Amino acid sequence: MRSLSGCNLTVLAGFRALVCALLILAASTPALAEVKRFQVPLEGSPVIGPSTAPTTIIEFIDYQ
Amino acid sequence: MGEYEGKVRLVIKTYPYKYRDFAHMAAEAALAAWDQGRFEEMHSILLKNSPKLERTNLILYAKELGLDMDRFIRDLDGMKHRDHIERDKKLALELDLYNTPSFFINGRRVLGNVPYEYFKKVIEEEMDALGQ
Repeated sequence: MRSLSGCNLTVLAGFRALVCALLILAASTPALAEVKRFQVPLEGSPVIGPSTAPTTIIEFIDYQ
Repeated sequence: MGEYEGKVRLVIKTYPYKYRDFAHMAAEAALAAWDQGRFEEMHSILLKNSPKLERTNLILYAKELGLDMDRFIRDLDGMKHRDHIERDKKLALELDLYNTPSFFINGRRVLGNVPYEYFKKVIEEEMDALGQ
């Protein structure tokens, strides 16, 4: 029993290390779903390109 | 933009710096052209000719576009879009933006003059995510 529980502890430690590694990996390469997205109001601003375009770029510009 | 024709729309927020002489007036010119349905053209001209953005230059650009000049000059000199520009500046500060250009690509913030390749990478990630 003792040796069996020792084995379980080793497996558990290994599992913990794996979870840890996955968490670090996830943090260093965030999935697109986890990227921070800002809500910027669009209305009342000039637009170039079709309103149906799937991607919207907002640019804060200084012409000078 | 040409590369992503039809797939991207660009929304412009005016963020002229206080200490630059013609930045505010140039933004007024862009918005005055917007009122006359010629924003895209004026936007391109201003970018191409920056920093030649004195009042006389702006009037010349408006003439090139064939704008209604009485209206354009009245809007420019009367700072018709001051509230619009102030609104955009306030929004920029709320978003902690202290540099131009600053971008949000589907809400993802991209600050400053980043290499085009990086910009492209973000756009393409977004398009992939949307299955475009």
